[in-house]
Amino acid sequence: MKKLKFTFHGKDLYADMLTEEAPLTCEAVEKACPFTTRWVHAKIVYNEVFCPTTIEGPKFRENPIPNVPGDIGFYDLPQCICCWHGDMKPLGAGNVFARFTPEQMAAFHEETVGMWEETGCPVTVDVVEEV
Amino acid sequence: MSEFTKELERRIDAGWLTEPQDVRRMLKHSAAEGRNMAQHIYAYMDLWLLQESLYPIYRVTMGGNADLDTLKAAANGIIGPAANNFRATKMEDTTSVLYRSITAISGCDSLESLAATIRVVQRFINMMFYAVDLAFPWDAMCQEYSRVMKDFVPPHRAGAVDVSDQ
Repeated sequence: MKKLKFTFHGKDLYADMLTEEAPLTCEAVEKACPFTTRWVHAKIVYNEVFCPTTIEGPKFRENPIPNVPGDIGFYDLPQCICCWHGDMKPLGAGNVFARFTPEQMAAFHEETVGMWEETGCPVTVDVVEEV
Repeated sequence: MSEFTKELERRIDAGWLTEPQDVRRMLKHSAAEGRNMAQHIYAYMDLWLLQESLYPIYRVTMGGNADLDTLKAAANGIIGPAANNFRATKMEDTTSVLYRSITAISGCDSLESLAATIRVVQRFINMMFYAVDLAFPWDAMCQEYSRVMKDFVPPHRAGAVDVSDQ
């Protein structure tokens, strides 16, 4: 299985790529990787961080399911990868192309829960094969 | 790829990691009067609205089944007033890019070239939007806003029935 890898705060954090549910988006993400950008905190959703990218993905929401904690979506308009974690109420359906396991989400939540106070942390995004 | 597109790609690549100079220019404007927060909010929302507005035109252009001149006029009709707003907030590079984008869009001779031009402009504006976002102290401002708003009643609301929780 392919993994989406976020490197920041000196740590590598992983999520499972949903290559069956969102093959076009996964392919576009992998094509753009690796790249370095910055985390930005969402303004409305309580526990959501996203990072701007240069990914040119599908122009429609390939896997538009209501977001739940642990989901990772890609939005073509702002070209952002969005990560929902911890307790949160979704605003709607995103284009979900990767997902944290509960253990992965707990580790991600630990590193990002303070980003409302300190936003803009650099992050390197990559796609790797599971080892 | 045109020189204009190459320039915007360079600006986008750099802007994710290094704050564009326009953010500092915008923040200095009206700082002496203590009103640069208003500049910040206006720039933030103007950038957000511009990239959101350009995207559907890009999508229609991508579809390949629309009139070229109509789409060019629609895109430039959105970009022109926005460029004037960024001139007002002293974002000189953004203003320059947008004025030149009008020229670039006017010169497009196919839906394909128009789609590519609108997209790179929209992506540049998206980058600027997040640069302005990252320069805003959201946590501190939200706390202060909550403190100020707790007992604030605008004069025109005095005596009105509060229906917010009915």
